[in-house]
Amino acid sequence: MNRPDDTDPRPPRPVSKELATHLLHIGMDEDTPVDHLVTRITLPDGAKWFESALTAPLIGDGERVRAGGCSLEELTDLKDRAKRQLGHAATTTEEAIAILGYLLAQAGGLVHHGRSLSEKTPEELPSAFADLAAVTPESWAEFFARARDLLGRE
Amino acid sequence: MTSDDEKRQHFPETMLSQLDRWLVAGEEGLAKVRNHIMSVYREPLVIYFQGRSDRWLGEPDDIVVGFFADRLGRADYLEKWREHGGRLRYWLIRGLDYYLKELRKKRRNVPKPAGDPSEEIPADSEAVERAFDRVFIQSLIREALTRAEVACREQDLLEHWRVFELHHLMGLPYAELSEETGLPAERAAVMTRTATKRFRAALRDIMVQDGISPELVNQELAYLLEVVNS
Repeated sequence: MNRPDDTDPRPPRPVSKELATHLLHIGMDEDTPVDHLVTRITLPDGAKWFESALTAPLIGDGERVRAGGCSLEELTDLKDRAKRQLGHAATTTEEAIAILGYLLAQAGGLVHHGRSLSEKTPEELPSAFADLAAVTPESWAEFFARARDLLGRE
Repeated sequence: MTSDDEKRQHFPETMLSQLDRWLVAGEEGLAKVRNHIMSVYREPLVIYFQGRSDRWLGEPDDIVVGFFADRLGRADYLEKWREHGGRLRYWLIRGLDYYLKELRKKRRNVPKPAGDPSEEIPADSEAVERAFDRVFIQSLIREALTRAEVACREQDLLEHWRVFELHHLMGLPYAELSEETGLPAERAAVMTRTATKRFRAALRDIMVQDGISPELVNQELAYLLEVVNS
């Protein structure tokens, strides 16, 4: 992108009524746990963090989930434990690992067993899978993109 | 513990905003508080003063800088605001009113030029606050944008910030943005979202620093939206 030198002083930004309205609306939206997870993965050390999160005590062996080595019962157990951790997370890291475990289990159910682990598929799942597909390493990106496609929605 | 330390301890730890943390961080923290206040509130106060009949007292910028130097130089000025509660911006308006009253007394013998009363901001406090809030919104957004950009720069996310600017400030849809930057649209959307979080956090943090409880920030934003569109 062609940009002026970033150290150049900039004139005050004009803020029109329309822009003010738009940006104040943005301020009203709360970050979700998925947002926090995506942010964590996009930080400079995000790839390393993602790798370690996949072997965190809650998840155990994320690679096994991706490769299709887990039964439906194991995936449902992971999903339920992740939900519990999400409700009791004391730190944003615990929360991020919990939502990752939850999404991993749901994606594993769809990709390897052809079914959702929830009676009613959460509305946020397709966009969460799309977000993860955009920020994770290639093999994982394919896994989450496949899960999103299987839900048949954008 | 000195008496200053004792005074500073009355901020409950669990409710500390960034501004509170600065307030308990000694002289260096106070310098940051002053910088923050001048950065966010200088322009709204200048415009507020320009709308008054006593603008003969001096150049608006000089008056506001003089007000900051006088009031923010007092160790207990912001502690009194914390004890009083309410929005910092309204506390500063009232503070400026008192400061101008003091200046008028000091300059009693200086002849006043004729003013145009029709240009004055209405005297009733609700109208004054809304007029002030219109300017405050501009300042709030500019400051939040600046802080978010700095945060992105510090976290090596400057490219994310540029994508945010193209999408949210310049209004480019992701498809066009993708053509301009060469980034896949899906990736651009995620990058924008990352920078958006920095902007949202900065905006909400400044509002908490203005004295709004974190759980009431959305309510205050709804009020500011009403002001900006009224």
